[in-house]
Amino acid sequence: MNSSPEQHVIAAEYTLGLLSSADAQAFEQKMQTDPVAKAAYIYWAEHFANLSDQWDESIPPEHIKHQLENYLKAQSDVIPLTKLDQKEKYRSPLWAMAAAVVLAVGIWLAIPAQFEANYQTHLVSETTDLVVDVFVDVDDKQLRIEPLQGSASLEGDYELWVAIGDGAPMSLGVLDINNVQEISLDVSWLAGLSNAHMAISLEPKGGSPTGQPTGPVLAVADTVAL
Amino acid sequence: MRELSEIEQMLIDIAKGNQQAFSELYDCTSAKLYGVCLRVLEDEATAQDVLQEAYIKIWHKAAQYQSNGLSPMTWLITIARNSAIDRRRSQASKPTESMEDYELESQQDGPEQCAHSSQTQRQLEDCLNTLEPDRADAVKGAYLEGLSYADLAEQFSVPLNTMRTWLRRSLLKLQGCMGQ
Repeated sequence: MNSSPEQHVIAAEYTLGLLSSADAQAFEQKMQTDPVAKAAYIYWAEHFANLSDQWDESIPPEHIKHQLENYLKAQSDVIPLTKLDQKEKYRSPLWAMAAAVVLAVGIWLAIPAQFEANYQTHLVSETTDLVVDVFVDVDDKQLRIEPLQGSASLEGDYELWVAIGDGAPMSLGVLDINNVQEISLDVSWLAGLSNAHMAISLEPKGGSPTGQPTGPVLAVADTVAL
Repeated sequence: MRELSEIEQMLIDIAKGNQQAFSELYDCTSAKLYGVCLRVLEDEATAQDVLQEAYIKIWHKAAQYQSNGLSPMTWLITIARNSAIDRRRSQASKPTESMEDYELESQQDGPEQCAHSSQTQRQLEDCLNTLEPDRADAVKGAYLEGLSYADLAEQFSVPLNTMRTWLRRSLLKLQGCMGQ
């Protein structure tokens, strides 16, 4: 490996997680095109991994695996959107309403290409049984909302929100609690998802009348890079 | 051709959506990955949450494993360690130094993968032993506990820049000792 000592140190610092965010991103960019930088990273990752014996093994509680299995099961139960148009639900007023709200905030429904998530937000409500996963495919500008658990509220509609950094929440539309939704997003905030959180609030039927959350926040979670 | 390791085969099966393979992978790797999360996060509930997050990433990213150049266990450890470090730093309200998983995205052809032979392991440990003890501890603290330069400076009671200089010199010495 013919990398300079400086480059090797940067690769080691990157592997350890010691670089500033900007320097780490610059190194990642470099690795995309520079096999020497990538080889330096692999060299350090593999050598440091030899310290892994020093992490004591610890058996996680049983429920972790069960929850993961439930998660996987929910994933395999997903109805591809392309099949939805054969279903009655597609023409139901609820679906139309959800679509209308989505359109109102500059988002439109689309048939997804190969969905490859870059970000995930796992929303678990502490006050209700609602559990929702939101995935974002930044490259294809796709958002996928997967309701894993919970039932519709008699008091109103669940509305999904995203906030970038300390910014104000932006609506992602009313949740369809019975179906996986995939929507296309042509918005600039996709670039800010590394520092974002999402939330679900309970709103009047049809969604917030003000464009901002008005009801109780049922779940909030950070967006996590995959 | 190198023979596929058991874990590698599981990852290939997981990439095809095989939930049984995922279950087997979890059974044989979760104790190690949970150990990583516990050491970095020092809190059981948070470590469990991050462990789940890590396995969800593994499920979604298994298809990309083969192109990233890391050996399978290093890849799994990297996902768990980076997830734990990201959580640790977001909890500390220090949004810098994110460990978003570059290696999960890479499509470059990597060099040949290196397995963790006992020889390379001894090599790293022998080389760490050539460093002054506190400098070796700083390197280990960064890797095993996910400590940042600021954390390390505080722990060793030295200015941040001194710690940076220490560690960078240590890394150069390590590389010189281990060779390429």
